[in-house]
Amino acid sequence: MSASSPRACGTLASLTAAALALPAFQAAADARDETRIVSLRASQYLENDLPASQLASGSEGDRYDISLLRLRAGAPVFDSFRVTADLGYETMSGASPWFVQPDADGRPVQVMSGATIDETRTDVSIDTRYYSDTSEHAIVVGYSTENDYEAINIGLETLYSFEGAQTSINLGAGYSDDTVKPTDGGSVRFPYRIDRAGRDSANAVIGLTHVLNPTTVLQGALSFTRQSGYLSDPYKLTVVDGAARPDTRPDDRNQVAWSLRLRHRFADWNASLHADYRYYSDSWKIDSHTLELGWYQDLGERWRITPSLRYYSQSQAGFYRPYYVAETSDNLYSSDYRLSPYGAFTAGLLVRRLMESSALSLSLQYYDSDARYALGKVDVANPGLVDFVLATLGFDFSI
Amino acid sequence: MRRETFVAALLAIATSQSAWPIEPGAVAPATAGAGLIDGKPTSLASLRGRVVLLDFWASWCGPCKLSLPELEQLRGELHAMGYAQRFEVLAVNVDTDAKAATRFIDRHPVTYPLLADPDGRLPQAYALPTMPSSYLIGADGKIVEVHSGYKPGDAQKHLKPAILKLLGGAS
Amino acid sequence: MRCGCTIVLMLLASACTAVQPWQRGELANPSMAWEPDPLRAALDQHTYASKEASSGGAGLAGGGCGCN
Repeated sequence: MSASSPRACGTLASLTAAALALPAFQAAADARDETRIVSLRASQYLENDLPASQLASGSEGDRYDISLLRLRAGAPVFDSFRVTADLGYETMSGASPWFVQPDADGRPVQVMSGATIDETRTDVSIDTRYYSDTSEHAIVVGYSTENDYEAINIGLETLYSFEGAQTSINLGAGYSDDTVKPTDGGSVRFPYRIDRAGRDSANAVIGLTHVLNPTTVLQGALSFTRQSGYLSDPYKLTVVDGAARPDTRPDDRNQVAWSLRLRHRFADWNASLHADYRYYSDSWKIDSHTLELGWYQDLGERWRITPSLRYYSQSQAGFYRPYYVAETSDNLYSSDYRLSPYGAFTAGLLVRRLMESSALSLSLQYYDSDARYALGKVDVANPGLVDFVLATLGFDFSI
Repeated sequence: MRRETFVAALLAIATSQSAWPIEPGAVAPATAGAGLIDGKPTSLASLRGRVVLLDFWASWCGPCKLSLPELEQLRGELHAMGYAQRFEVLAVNVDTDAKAATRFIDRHPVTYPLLADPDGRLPQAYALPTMPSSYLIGADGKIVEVHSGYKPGDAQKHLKPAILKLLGGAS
Repeated sequence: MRCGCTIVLMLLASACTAVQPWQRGELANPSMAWEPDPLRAALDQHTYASKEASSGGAGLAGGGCGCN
């Protein structure tokens, strides 16, 4: 009998599996294997300056720079639990797009926030996970604080594997309670800016993973998110018939994303292919496609090099305009480049060097967004589209 | 699905040996091959008359990093107790890449015999339920207990008393 | 269309292949993880969610930030 003897599909397979009560492939293997880990990531995020041609005269094109530090520590607790704690710290400085106005020819140009914004963000989260032979259950709590923003979130995840762990199903639910408290909100200088507002977000995920053959795994997932509350950007303005108005978005947003992820091993080449696709759609009439490919190439025992390419394309929000010539009937206004139609490419390279019980890694990513990269035809490009470089130095240590 | 096809499928499953895990009481299937390190013929048959713990492992199996040292310790203890001629651990490695397996043994050295089965014939014959799994085999060559998966401390808490009971019963 | 059906059939056929516990050496390779570098993946997700309109995927969304 061949090693990969075919087994009947569907009901029959489940029946036989149940009858034979096959114990699963140890889901807990990973938890018990990696004893204690400490990981550190230091990143530098740099946005390209906006070219003068896309700026209103007199506006400076400097954008955001962010330094990020992330620390993760994880350890097994008792026999079947694992606790992982994450700590993050970011410092941001620079200017961000403020509003878009038409120039003398009616072409949209960007006005940047004049003052340099200095901000820090600290976040902490703890993941507690229980493993049994055929399942995994986790509770995640997190807290994030900035000068002008605060968020507290909780998540539950569960995973069951069956058919000898050839198939598994995962379910998750999360909730985040956020508070927006903009700097200078309600001040004389910025009368349009809100003082304080709340927003919350509820999220549910269902996924199915199947081992197709000894070298291929496929996962499909469906995710639903409902955001409600103050979803506008308190710092941004729009130009409506020549006058400034605060960015005003709907009070709720329903988002659906389905994703398909594939991992395939090329054993002869010592390499693995990662292919991820996501389709996203929301009640603001944005839909998007994301395709991400990664090639994990092992070079000898010590080195791994991973080139990756990501393509992203989104359509615009229904209420979005670069600027408004007249008031709208729904009273929704936003000229945020994030809600505009565009496409983007990310090219990435990750190099990892493995040592006895530690690893060093360097990752470089370049993100280039442009209205011309969009899948659909874009009539007017938003002048504020962002390009950035993200460099990350990483160190992992296991005991 | 047509009825004949359905019946044929049922029969195929019922008659396929591999679909049925080995139960206690059954005679252990023929277990022989080349030694992982030295390439010398190694077999279960040559250990007949002894109580054998037959362990299936692979270098890529996470818990094996913990289970192999535990079995090595258990074997050392039992041999120190005077059971060197009456108890042995026999480990079957199922790595397709022998180099990965020998590298693993360099890191986690063991003194018991290691058998290489890169084609996976033996786990197929035993219808191995999970990785790692081990089979406690009596002096008569019959399977006494099937141990699937790894739980920390199981070698001491569970296997040791079971082996001692077998050795005591045989004397 | 016929081609699409063939692909679906091939996928279904391969879905029927039982992959035994001892045949999972290649799947256990660290580079076959959904995210071999989870911290980098989290940072990517955070960055993209703050610079693009889309969010959500295979995992939970996690907490919000004022990064919009």
